[in-house]
Amino acid sequence: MPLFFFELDDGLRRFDDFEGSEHASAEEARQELVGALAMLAKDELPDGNIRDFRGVLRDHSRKVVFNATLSLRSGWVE
Amino acid sequence: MELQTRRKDWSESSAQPERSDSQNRLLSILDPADFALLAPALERVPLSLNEILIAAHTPIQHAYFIEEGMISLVADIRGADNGRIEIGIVGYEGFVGLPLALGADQSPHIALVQAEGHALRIAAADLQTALHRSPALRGVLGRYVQSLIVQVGQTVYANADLNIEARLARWILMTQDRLCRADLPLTHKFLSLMLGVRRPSVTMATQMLEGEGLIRARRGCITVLDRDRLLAFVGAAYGLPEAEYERLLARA
Repeated sequence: MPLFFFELDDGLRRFDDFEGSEHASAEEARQELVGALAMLAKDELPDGNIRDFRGVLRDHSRKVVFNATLSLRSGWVE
Repeated sequence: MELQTRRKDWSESSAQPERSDSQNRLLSILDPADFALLAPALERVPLSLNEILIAAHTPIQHAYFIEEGMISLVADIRGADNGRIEIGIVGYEGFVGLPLALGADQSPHIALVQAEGHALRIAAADLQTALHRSPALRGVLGRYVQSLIVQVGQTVYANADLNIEARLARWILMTQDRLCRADLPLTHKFLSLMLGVRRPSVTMATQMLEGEGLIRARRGCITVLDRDRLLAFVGAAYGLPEAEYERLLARA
């Protein structure tokens, strides 16, 4: 199975992937990345009105093959 | 948890155990007469990594009193890797094959060896005969089942309310309790399956605990560096099932 690397960033901290992991396809790796982003957002929110959770998927050669951003834009109405 | 500090040294011995030489805590607290009911039918067997001791929806052949190693009780929903989520952990403090002690012959959950070791196993019919003859034996195994129900309940709470790094920290503590060592053979793939989270989430949570100096993670191995601070990190999410176990199954 092909090797993929995931990077996550919650706007405050960045997490690199030094080990990589095997997934059946790029689509499965994409689902892992987006699922992890959603869980990261669930853990971190509702802390902050404006937050961006970013994820990067790299292939075996460390080339970026997919980007994802999960954003919160919120604020009280004046 | 105090389990690990109470453990006896292990040395290889005969296939049929004496009460005094069993590393299994449940067997070690039985009255001699109750242990004698089980002893002729107990057989020491190795536990191999990934071995399925109890299969789903299948009559259970043996119960296993774990002496060394760790067993995961797993909800195996789709029969595939990504359908498996751990619901309970059993080590030398317990046994697997719980349905047999409750009057049932099978379960939809599987029991899977996550860390190799050895156990004393007993055929289902022999265990049920002994249980029928001894209310005290039923009491010990029943109280263990109760402690495991508490553990499963706390895992439900942890999965619903804790962030991933706290869940990982709790799980590392529970694993160390049962393996009684600092180096734990845990791959990220295994952790993502057991915790029911995505693989990148495990990598992230591992790095967070490592960044705090609580653990060291290397390929296929997590080393506990500071158990006291891991305990402080997890807080009240760890300790209740462990305390219940000690209360229910205090040594005579």
